[in-house]
Amino acid sequence: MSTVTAPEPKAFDSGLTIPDFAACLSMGLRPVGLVQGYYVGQIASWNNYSAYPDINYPCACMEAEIHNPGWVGRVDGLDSSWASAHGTALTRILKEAGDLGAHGIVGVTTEMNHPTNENSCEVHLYGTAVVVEGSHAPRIPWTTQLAGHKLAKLIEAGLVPVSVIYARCTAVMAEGCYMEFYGSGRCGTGYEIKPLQDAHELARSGAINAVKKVANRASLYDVKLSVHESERYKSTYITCSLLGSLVRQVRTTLPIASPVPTINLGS
Amino acid sequence: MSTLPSDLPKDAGARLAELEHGLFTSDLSVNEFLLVKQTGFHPLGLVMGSSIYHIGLQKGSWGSSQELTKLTAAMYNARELAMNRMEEEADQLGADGVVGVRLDVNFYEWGHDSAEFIAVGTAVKAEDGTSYRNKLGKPFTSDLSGQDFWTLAQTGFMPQALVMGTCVYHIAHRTLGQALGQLGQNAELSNFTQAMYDARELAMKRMQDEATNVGATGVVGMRLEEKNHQWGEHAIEFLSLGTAVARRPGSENVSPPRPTTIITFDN
Amino acid sequence: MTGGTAPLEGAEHKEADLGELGRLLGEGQHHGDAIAGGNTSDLSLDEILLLHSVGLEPADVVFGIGCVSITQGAWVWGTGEVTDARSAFHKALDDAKATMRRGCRQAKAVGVLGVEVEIEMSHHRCVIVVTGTAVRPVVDQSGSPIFKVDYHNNPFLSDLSARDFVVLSTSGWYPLDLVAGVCYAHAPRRSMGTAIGQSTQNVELTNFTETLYQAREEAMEQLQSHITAAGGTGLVDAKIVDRPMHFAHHVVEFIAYGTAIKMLAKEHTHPTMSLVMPLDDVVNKFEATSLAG
Repeated sequence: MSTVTAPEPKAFDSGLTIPDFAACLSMGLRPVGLVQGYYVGQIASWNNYSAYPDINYPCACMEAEIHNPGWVGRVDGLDSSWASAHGTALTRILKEAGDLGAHGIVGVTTEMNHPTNENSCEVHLYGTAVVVEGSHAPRIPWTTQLAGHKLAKLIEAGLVPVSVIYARCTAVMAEGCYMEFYGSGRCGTGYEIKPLQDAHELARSGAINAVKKVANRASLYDVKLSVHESERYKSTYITCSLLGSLVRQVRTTLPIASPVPTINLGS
Repeated sequence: MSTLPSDLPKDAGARLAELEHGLFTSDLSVNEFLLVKQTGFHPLGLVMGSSIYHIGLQKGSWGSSQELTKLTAAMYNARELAMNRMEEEADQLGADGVVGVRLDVNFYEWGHDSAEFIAVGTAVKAEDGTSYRNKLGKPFTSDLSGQDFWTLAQTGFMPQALVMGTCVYHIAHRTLGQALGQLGQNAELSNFTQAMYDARELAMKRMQDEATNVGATGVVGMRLEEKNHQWGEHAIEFLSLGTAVARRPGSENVSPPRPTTIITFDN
Repeated sequence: MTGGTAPLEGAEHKEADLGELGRLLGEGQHHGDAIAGGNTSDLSLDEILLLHSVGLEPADVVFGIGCVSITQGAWVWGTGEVTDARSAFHKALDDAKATMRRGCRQAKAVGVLGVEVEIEMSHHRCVIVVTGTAVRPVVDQSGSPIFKVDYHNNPFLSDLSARDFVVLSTSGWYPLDLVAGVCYAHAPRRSMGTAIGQSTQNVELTNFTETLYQAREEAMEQLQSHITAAGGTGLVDAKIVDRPMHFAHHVVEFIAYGTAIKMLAKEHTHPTMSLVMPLDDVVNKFEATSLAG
């Protein structure tokens, strides 16, 4: 059992539960403080059609989108504003952790929602910054939503955390995509409604591929995909958001002994 | 194959015949499936029974608390019909019993004053060929989960039947005199208290009578459900459900295994 | 998706050497040193470790979507079954499964675990989306896979979690396919009022009972024939949906779906079981909102 160094006289705060705190100390991770990153912003309203595509609207988040009837494709404007909101919050939490001299952030929780209406977004990240005893600080602190013994398991499996990640992709099915025929049932039963199918697939694969592009041989796990469908001016927008963790494999995963099945009489 | 009892629809016959040839279906979770196998039983198939029942009108008198016997009889009969059909299907399969029975009630918009009672469970059969049917020669039924079924079997007891008792009780309205007399005081609403007592006792007694009829020595996993009766005001329905059990002959010296106490580090 | 409640007892817990730990955590920041190619999964860490113990690892998140049209007027109150809805459901499910299998083959996976099925039935179409994690065999030093079961290039699809898969496979049962049986039945047309009059009698409504009963039995038969078609001998963890349709109240929906399984070992192996009684009470996780005044 490694000797546990008592924390320095300077007080620290942490959001770890007691078992996680004990596990972190026994792993040699010393908590230095609770850090957070926060961003709230507005997304300017965006038009479905624009007859004048080269007019610059006064908000950096908005892009005018022109759709031909019957078009299925990606919509970038809204996605990039959400992604940059998350990115800004992440940058801020990393800066706070860096100022404390931390090596990484454990127990990161991500909250994203619309605080007022559809056109606003709020991102709140918080976690506990830790220092790895006997090691030097990396250039950018690593982040992970795990803490305590789960983090220990991750490391024993030969994986190290890199970052929490968010991606989002919106696909649109513009009006007139044969929906009057296929979507209303006039065609009969049993026809594949390809435009809707394509839009769904595009949204999902777009989100996953966006992460793969930046992953750079890291692995993505604990992915949570949520898909949201909405309609605006007769076009259907399908948005897929993805939250996950990037980890990197640095050692072969050693096989674990088969666990013993038990019957729990406690509940 | 014995001829189908006239109560079950003809489609049931074809489906059950398939199940007799080794195919099985179940809504047991994987844990429950393995535990049922561990107890020495093999699942045969999903068995269902349902009944759409119209409940006759009955109003209680204003001033006195009383059981609404017609409504009680209706709720009882309806559930009995559903459960009996389920048992018949299990009988048809040659099962020793049914585990994980769920009793549900569905109300439909088009069904005024009527409801559908459904009983669903998984029929099981002992792998060593000994019969586990109850004293009435019918397959046992129980709402025990797979885990509870295994644990019960370790004690040497086996389920005999799912027993229930019902009571629909009308509660007298408080008279004006009573209300005025207790204005501004903390007071017990004795009408209600007495009515609840009586109703619960009736429901539990009926359940115990059923248990005795089937030759059981006790009831486990008993629960008392109290619902505002769906049609009729000031009426409450008590449903008492439990699994009647009896010791297997020759298991007097079986002692259940002692559990190990643990503290888990999962949160 | 989190795994079950079986604690990892018996696993050797080696104390992490501090220096080693620091080096490993520091290494994470250098690019290009990962020894294995990236993979994507929606499994939790416990599930990944359990899969490794049977020789599998997650490969990619795969999904499949089926959108099929339903003709106009299919939901008007008639008699018997809404066959259009049933055929649309099955076609949508087959399309979704086929897309998922294509993604599986691309990822060189042997099957998909933890499939979540989302079913949306509306007036004019049926949309089914299936999402899961494809798993592939881990290859040992000599290049041969540790997971020995050969699915003959027909990946399995199952809604079992990775944990359930490991437990089931240790007993000798393996998943084959996701199968479903479905029935949309009209309630009988004859109005209840005329059937009963002003009756105060308790009576069973036999024609209603029979209609719904038959509908459910048909759905279960479909399920059984799909299990046999997939080559399975059984089904575990059937999910049952049984309710009136939200947009057409006179139609009752019954869906039963689950994973078809088959015993591939010679006989069922019982896991050695032990009883435990945990002494912990629930621990409340820290919430930042509690900081607000």
